[in-house]
Amino acid sequence: MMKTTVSLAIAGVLLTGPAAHAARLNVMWFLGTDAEEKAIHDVLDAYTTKHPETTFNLQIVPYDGIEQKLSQAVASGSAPDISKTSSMRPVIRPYLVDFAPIFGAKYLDDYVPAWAMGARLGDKIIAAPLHVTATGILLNKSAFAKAGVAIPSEQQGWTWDQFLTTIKTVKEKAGVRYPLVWDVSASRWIIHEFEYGNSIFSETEPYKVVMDDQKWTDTLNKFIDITKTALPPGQWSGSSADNPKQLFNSGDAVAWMSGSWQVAGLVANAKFDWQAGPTPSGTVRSSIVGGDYIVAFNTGDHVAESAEVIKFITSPEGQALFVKTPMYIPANLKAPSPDYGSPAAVAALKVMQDELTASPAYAGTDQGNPAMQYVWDTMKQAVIQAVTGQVSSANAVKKIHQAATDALAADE
Amino acid sequence: MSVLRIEAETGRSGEASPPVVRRAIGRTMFPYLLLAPTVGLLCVFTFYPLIQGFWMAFFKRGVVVADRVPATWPKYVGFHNFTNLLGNEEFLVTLAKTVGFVCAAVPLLTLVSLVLALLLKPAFRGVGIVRAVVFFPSMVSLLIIGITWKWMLGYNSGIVNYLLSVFNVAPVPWLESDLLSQIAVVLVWVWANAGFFMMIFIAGLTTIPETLYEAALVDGTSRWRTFCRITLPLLAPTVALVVILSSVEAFKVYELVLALTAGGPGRSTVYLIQLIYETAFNKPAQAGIAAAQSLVLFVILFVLTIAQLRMARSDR
Repeated sequence: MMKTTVSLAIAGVLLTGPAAHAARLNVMWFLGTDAEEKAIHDVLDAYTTKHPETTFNLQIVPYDGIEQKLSQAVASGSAPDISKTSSMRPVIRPYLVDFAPIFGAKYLDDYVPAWAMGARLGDKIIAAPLHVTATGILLNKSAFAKAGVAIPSEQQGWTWDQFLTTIKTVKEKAGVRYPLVWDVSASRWIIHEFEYGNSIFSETEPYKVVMDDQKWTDTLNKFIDITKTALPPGQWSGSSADNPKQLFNSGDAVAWMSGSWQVAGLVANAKFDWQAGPTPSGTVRSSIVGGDYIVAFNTGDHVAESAEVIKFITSPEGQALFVKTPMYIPANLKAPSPDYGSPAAVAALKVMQDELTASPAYAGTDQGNPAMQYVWDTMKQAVIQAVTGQVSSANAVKKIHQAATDALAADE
Repeated sequence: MSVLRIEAETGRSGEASPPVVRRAIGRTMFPYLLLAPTVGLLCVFTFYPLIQGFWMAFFKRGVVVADRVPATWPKYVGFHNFTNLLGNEEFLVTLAKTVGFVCAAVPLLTLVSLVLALLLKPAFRGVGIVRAVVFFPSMVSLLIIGITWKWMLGYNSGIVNYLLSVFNVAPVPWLESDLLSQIAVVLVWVWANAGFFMMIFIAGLTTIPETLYEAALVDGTSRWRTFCRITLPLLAPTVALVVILSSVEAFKVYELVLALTAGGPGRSTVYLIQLIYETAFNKPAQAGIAAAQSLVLFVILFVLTIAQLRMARSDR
């Protein structure tokens, strides 16, 4: 009898013991660059090496429609344990793990403030900042050298007028096809507005829309002029088949308005010398912070394990591992300077980080405001319609203003 | 009915042996068993979404209803979503543009398919291969066709502008200009569908008795007159069928445009399905309005389908 009881107890321990601690976490991830796939595998493998009882089922999904996928996942009860996301829409917020009681209320103090702001929801911390990006100008250094035109230093900088005149000269002298290409994206466009002192929301609570429509319209008109005189025809029409990245990488453009996430691709593919910045300025200098977050869902059975994994990925150690291959800027301010293995990449990312630091506060608070998630789509459509002449600049700005007002109401 | 009768009779008299009853039941049930998978699929993937869509049109709600987010819970609004459409400029403009697309694309498709059918109906060496080549785009996903043509029509990197440059012709903004992009969408849609409708026309042409053409030949009738007086009148039911079927397809145009122009430049090539998608998925809590928009499209397609069925009946 005794023997049987002991045998059953041992069998019970063998069968249930490890299972009680072992966790296989479902991770939903989209890639910002091809190199990121290796980075996320490296980080998760590193975690499993430290905690063999935790393994991962990594599902790589396309970026398009990620918000919709997460919304449907929470509604249908099939949310992953962990996901990368660039925003936390209201529909998924109640399903996110609140990290404040787990990591402590001061957890976000270690992260880039403007990006960390978006992770807060009142007293809650509903996301962990994963990495940050900076929008700015990338230059074909070889074309400038061929044209015999000097690029101003970061401190010296240049205004939009000086910049446009210079890149047109380089285009002519170096025989490059276009002076400038510009990603067709609302967050790449808004930097131009920021540089003329225009912002959307107040910087502190209670948030309200502070757009000066006339100033926004004047700046939009300047942008429309740029599309007509410096960009490839129809690039901002919303239907163009020409990709700014391909045009710049093939040496067909002197300058490219894009961001820090392109650095890894340039290191790997560019057949010419290139550099980041200085980004031209309007009445002020500005960049715009962007990036991604990592969230855990409170609907699964592995909330504690998921939080631990996220704590590791966003720790200085995890950040150093994650940002190295895709050449991202770590969100954690205590992360060691990453060894990107390319002097050009190191220099470019330093310039872009400096430009982020020099940006006005509203560039961070506008981006960090959760209501912005409802404004981006309308903003892009309105600008495209203004560029193509389907609506006036004033009407386009009116649409953006309305979308911002509605977004604040919806967010509340 | 007959099953019930047999069961009743069996139970009453007890004369029919069990194998006979089973055979009778089997014979009666067998057709229903064969139909069951199809009916089941139709119920799950057609009728249920249809009814659900109809129901949604009477509520203010998002696509996703999350139990912990009261703002997403459906709220009954009666016919408000439908009355909203009457004053919704974006919807009305898009509906008008969709009708415009149908009016431009369908006649062109009918003409091109008919010409192709007339050219490829006669048997000649290699006709099968030529027909297969023309039919091929119909077998390819419209999304793939859209992407392929987008690359070909690219301003800087497209092969079409490259070929023009060989002849010193300046590059053409096929996809970047309002008018040209609309023309491009029509032409690519016709290219993608012409093969399928050509086959329908060829089938229609084969039903016209050869004796009529022989009589016309004997009478020395010109080819054009033969076409106008014999081919076209006898092909009229097929033409009507092609017009109605292609109209239904044209009203549903979406993937091709999404891949080719994404609705641009600006909003020039946004048609009804894209608007419905954007309303449902890109705007918060407007899935009910999107459902109402879908019902309008459903009514249009339903009328066209009824017309086609009536025509088929009158043919018989």
